[in-house]
Amino acid sequence: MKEKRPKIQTHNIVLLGDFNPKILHPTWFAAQGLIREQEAEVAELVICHPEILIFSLDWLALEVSRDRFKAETVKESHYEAIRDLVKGTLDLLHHTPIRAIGINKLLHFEMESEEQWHNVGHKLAPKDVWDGILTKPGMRTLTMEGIKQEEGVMGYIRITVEPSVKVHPGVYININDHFKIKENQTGQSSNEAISILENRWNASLKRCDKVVSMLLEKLT
Amino acid sequence: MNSELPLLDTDSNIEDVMQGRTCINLSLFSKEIPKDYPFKRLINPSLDSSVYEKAQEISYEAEESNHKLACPQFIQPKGYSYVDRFEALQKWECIVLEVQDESFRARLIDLTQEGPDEEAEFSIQEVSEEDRKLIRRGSVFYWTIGYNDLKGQRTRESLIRFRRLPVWRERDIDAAGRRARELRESIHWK
Repeated sequence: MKEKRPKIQTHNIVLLGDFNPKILHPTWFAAQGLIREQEAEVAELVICHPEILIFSLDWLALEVSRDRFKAETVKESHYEAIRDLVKGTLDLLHHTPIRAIGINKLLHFEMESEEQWHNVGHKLAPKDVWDGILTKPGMRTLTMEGIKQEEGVMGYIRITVEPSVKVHPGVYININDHFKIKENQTGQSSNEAISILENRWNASLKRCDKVVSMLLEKLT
Repeated sequence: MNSELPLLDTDSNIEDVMQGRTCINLSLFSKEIPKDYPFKRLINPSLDSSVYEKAQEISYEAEESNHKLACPQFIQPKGYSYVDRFEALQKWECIVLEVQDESFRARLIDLTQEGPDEEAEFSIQEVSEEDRKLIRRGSVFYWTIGYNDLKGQRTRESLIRFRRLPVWRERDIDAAGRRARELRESIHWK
């Protein structure tokens, strides 16, 4: 089967921990050398509030709340830049308690036909179970979770499949590679998150691609 | 909400605003627009429900304490959209080996497929102005060749972006380098 390329592809890194959103302003990132000064000047600052901060550059969308930090890009050229930005932030804010880190990909694939699109749903969620219970049942979303097989790593891999709202007929696949960080003294959890980004990020993205390829092979 | 839409007039109503057919003036906004509407326009609830819920909480808390939130701007973020994207055909992680006046040489590590490292020479003109101060022996950059889709127009592009370390980390590295040189010079080899 010809390898399918996604129509839309997003990569994000999500940190769960304790954050102070208001300091993570574009000007702060520029002052720390993590983005260009010119990028900070033209950043689209959507919200800047003690509870939540959202801004975007041409290659980055950043959302920070008290317990969640997400850096995201739709540009394949900037996947490493996202990783470096998160690493740099963790380096500077090394006392930030981090409870978990997610290395994620969000993909929208176009199907060759509506029939192929419907077949994806039929294979993942056979409809005969629902006969007599629902009229015209259709799969809205499906999430499967598997354990990690890497030594010394706690966490899971979660895959969500849904009809795409951006591509029609299309399938949306979300791969969440979740790493749980051991509860520790302040200052050490951010080091563990940095270590995961340094040593496991590349393998995680490759695993995402492999998993998606295997899944599409089975579904189409 | 598109800033080029006509302003609300006497023939328009709130339904026109909600459907995005017209803009709104501030006084009508504060009276008529539902509390969660501004945040729905700024944060896509289907993408990130936790952020959306937090934004709603802020809105309701502000209302209860009689503090008015600043009216958010209804401007579609520019330059970041699921339609605009860069599809990489080939990517390398590169390490600068040597810097000359107008060019620099680098070792290329293929990120797209397995293969031997290569070397290439780049013109300094290929590098964004603000990144040029990062060009030095040992610094890392990413070179990507691919298709850039911007507002429906596809172009083939070659993109160079230097890795950015926190400013204090660079100073740390420089200081460590100086200290290492001092130590080496202080050793009297026999």
